[in-house]
Amino acid sequence: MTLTDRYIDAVEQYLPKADRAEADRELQVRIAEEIDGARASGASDDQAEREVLQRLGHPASVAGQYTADSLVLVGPKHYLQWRRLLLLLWTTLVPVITLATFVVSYATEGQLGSAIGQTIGITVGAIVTIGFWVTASYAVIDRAGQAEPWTLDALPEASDPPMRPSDVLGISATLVLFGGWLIWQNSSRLVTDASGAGVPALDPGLWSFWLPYFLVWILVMIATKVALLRTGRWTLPLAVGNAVLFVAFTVPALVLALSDRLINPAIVTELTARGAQDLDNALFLTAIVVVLCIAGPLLWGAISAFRKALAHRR
Amino acid sequence: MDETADGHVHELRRGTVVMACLVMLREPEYGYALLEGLAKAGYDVDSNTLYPLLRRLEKQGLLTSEWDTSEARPRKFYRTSPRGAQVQRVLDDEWRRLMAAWTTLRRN
Repeated sequence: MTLTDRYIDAVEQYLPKADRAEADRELQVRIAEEIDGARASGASDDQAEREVLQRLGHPASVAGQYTADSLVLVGPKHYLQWRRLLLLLWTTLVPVITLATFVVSYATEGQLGSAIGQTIGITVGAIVTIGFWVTASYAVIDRAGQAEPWTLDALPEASDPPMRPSDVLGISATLVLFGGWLIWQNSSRLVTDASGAGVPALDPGLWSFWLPYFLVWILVMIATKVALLRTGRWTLPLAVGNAVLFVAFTVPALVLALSDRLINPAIVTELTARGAQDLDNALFLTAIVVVLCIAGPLLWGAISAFRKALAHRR
Repeated sequence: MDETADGHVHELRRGTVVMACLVMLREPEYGYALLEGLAKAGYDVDSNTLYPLLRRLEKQGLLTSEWDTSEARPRKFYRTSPRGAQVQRVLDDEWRRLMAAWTTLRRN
C-alpha cells in the first residue's frame, strides 16, 4: 500500500460513506497530477510524493473539501445566542444548585466532608448537563434552516422603572401578611394540646429577640421599596441597603433554621402524638427550604440592583 | 509586505480567479495544467485553492468535466459550459465597469 493510498484512506475516515467514492476518485487524480508536476521540477518519485502529500495537509482538512456536511456545530448565525444562553444558565442555575445541594446535604447528614463531596459531584454534573443540552439544542436550531426573519417589533422594551405604586402596594401587602402571620401564629389555636391551649408553629423562644427582629426587617424592607418609588431607579446607596437587607435576613434565618431553632418542639410532639411520622426531619428541611426560597429572590434582587445602579453611573 | 496588505491582495486575487478559470477553460484542460497556465500568466494560485474551486464551479454548472481513460492513469478534464461562458461574459462586463469606475475615482 503506497503512501498515497494510506493518505487517501486517512481522508476517507472523516467522510460519510456516501462521499467516500467520489473523494477517492478526485484525490487519486489530483495527487497524481501534482506529483507529475513536482517530478517535472526535478524531484525524485518518493520526494515528489512526500512533498505533495505534505502540502495537502491534515487529512481532516482535506476531507472538509469533499463533503457537503456542515463543518461547524453552531454557526455564526446562532453562535452568540448560544453562548449567551449557556453563560446565563451556568451563572444562575449552577450556583443555586450548588448552594441547595450543600445546605440539604449538610443539614441531613451533618458531615462536612461528605457534604462537600456530594456538592462537587452534583455541581459538575449540573454544569455538564446544562452545557450538553443547550449545545445540542442550538446545533439543531442552526441546522433547522430559515426561521422567521427578525423584525423590529421583537426588540425588547427599554427597562421599565423598577417600582410603580402598584408594585409597592403588592410587595408591602405580602410583607405585611407575612409579618401578620408571624404575630398571629403565636396565639393560633389551629393545633391545641391536651390542656386546650394553642400550640404555635414557630418556637415561642424566638419572641425574646428574633421575631421582633424580623418584624423590624419587614418594616425596613417596605421603606426601601417606597424610597425606590420616589427615586425612580436604583441608586448605589439603595442598592447597598438592599444588599444589607438580604444579608440581614438570610444569615440569621439560615442559622436558626439549620440549628433547628425555628420550629416549636411542642408542635412536633403534639402532632407526633396524633400519628404524624418523622415530622421532626420533615419540618426541619421545610424550614430550610422556605428560608432559601425567600433568600433566593432577595439575593437575585440585590445583585441586579447593584448592576442597575452601577450602569447608571456611566 | 505586511499581513494586512497580504490579506487584501489575497482577497483581490480570490475575487478574480474565477474569471481567469472560466476564460482559460474555454479549451478543455486538466487541473494541474490549469494551475501551471495560471501561474505562467501571473496568477499565483495554491493547489489547495484551485482544486476545491473547480469542484465548486462544476457543482454550480459553470464547468463540465470528463474522464479521459485513454492513458494508463485516468485524468479529469474540465471545460467551461455554455452557462459558464454566459457567466464569464457577465463577469467581463462587470470587470470593465469596475475598471472605468476606478479610473474615474483615481483621477478625482
